[in-house]
Amino acid sequence: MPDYPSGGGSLPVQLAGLESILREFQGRKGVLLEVFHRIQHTYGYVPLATIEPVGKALHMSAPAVYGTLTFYTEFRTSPPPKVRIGMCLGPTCHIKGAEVTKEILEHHLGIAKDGSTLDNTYGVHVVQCAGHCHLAPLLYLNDEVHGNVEIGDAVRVVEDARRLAGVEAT
Amino acid sequence: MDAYAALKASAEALWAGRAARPRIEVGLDSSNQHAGAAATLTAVREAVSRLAIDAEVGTVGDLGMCWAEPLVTITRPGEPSVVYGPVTAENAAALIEDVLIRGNRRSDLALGAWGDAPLDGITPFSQQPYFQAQRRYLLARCGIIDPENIDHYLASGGYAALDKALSSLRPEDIVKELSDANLTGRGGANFPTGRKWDFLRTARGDTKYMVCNADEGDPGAFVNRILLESDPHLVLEGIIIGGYVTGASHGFVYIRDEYPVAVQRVRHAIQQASERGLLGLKVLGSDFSFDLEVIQGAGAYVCGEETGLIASIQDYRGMPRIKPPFPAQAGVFMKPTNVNNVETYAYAPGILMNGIEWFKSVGHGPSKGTKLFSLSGRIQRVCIIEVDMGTPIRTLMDACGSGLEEGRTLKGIQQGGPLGGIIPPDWLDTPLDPTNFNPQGTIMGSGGLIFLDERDCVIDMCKWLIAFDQDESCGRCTTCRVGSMRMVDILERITRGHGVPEDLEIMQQLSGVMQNANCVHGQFIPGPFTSTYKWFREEFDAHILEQRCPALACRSMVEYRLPVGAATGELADRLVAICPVGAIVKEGNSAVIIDSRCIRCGLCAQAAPAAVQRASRESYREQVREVRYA
Repeated sequence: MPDYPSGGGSLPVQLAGLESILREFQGRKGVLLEVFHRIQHTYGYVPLATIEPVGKALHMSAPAVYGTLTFYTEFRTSPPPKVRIGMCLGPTCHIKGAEVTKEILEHHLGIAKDGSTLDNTYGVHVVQCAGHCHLAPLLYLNDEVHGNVEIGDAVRVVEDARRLAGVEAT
Repeated sequence: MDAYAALKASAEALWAGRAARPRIEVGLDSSNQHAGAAATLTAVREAVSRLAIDAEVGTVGDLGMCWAEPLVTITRPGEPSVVYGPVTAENAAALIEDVLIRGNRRSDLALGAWGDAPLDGITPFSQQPYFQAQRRYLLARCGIIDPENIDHYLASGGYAALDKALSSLRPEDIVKELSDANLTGRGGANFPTGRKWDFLRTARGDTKYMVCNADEGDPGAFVNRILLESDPHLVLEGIIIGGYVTGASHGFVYIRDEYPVAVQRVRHAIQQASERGLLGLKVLGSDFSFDLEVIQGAGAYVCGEETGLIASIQDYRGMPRIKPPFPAQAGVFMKPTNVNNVETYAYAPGILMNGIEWFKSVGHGPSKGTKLFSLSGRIQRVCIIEVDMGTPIRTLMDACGSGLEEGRTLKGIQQGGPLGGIIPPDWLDTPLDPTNFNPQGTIMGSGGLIFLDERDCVIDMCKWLIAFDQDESCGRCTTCRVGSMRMVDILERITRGHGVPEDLEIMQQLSGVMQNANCVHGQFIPGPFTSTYKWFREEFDAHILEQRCPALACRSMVEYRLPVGAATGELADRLVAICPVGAIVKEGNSAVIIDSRCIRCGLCAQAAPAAVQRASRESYREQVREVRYA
């Protein structure tokens, strides 16, 4: 059987978790974002395979569900990288050189155009400004906050990321 | 009403019971948490049990003093509370031991004390410029009460306005009161709140909705966050009063995804309020029923536009639509709906309790009341403050933000969010009042002020803002989708030194065309450009005519020069090691920069300022001119 890139993971296991989520929201309106948040919380991303069951449960067409899913930047439809680096590029971080830091990180970790390495070990993505400007420039290394990351600290972040990838691998 | 009196009495008893023991309160909102408050709290708990101190350890919200976080407030019985910061996991134990056991007040770590008299060398807050410049009405409880404990809110006079409204005021009285006070929307559009509520009150239909817009997406604005995280019940009370006035039965609080702590706090607050009978069937025993739910956004700036937000609540793509019909006619699920900002709702209880005259007495200009602002950028103290409407920006910058870094000069202030503009330093003495901004073609916005100094390029900032807007455009109308893209293209060209004078004409034409966009997002996208063009014309000239960035911030127009022989031996090795992208190599004994590899991070110039020079890129200027005038 050919191995199709399905968005990752095996379907039956996913659906097992999905059912309990959908049961709670069955037939309700105004809950789609919450359903996606729960799914992303469970699987780390929103597998495309969940679109049809979600549509059925909420009485929406699959294209409508897909449309909503892809409108919001917070939902990802592919498995997250092992080591996620979230860079704030808000105005304060921007003027303090966060973009240069991002370029250095991408250079060292070998990040491709889509924001992650080919083996999905490292990923660099942009997070929206949440107003923690007293720590600017700011980045998140797997949800851990690193504040005041000046351009000169970029190489240290790369080392931290490598260490994190090693820990996760064992 | 009896139900409320009982709630308040028990809350007050609990509040009064706290006075007997020393209290240690750790600020635990997202701002403090980012600074490491969770570790501080653990260290405090450990220290208290290790030293066997009989003290209450609690959590509070945010005082707004972001620059000194994590904050810890220590109160000894019978004395005013003292706020310390920054208190990290390392110095927390020593601080507690000093203050509560040795009796040393540690004025070195103290930020200030509540109360009016100096306390062992600790200046009271009331005598510090940071607080003197402010009038903390909405922020009165922030950083003092535990936002997760409804009793703290009740004990400090919370829900009294709701009780007053339900027991003695008719909806039309409240509308009249808000209209007479002339409370205007705090989200940026400044629409009179009383009129808006009256639209919904008089709208036909059985089902009506209240929506609280907490999708505070403006980068650099974080004033709603402090209210949601540090005093969520104040916002809820405003929404419930709004529901009573307008006859709505259901409300939504739409909170952006980037504020997970706010989502959790507001959900918790709704649950507590429901348990106490302040929400749900028959609120406080009256005939009015109302319930609330939180909708967590998912990262779309344009959902801050009311019709986009309504679309998002209804499970659709969060795309704004053309108005009319206005939300008061057809909103959530096509039912009449009222949408207000967090700050606007938070003001409703105060006006009901303190009266119109009180509200009108606050503010220096035509707009009344106070307004929250967040200061960031090149300011020394990043903070969230509340000042009278009409306070000059200079007061905010100097008294609250403690000015710019030593020796820096102000270049401009980015205000009004990404749809606002960049104003020049001459505006420092202009009162912060929407009526001063609108005639100048800019908006005061929701409260973010980002200070720029001479190291920052306003054209680059303008490009950044419009690129943000372009990225967040929903794509429904071509005007906005394509117009913003063209604007970014042109600005990108200008910041790379490829701009031509005609570009400015095209930009102006585009700015005119964009006024026809469907929603305010598209209509205001030219804002950063028109303001920059109006007040920073010479920067455009330098970029376009001279291929020069005066701030040396546009990286394409900057070069780092390291002449052969300037760095040799050990210094050369150091520079080679310091370059993060391998653009510095050794040629013989001397280090040289390979220009094509250099990303202009500036680390080499920092490490060896004598050898490496940062300068405008002369060779590039010649190249551009050759192409242009060939």
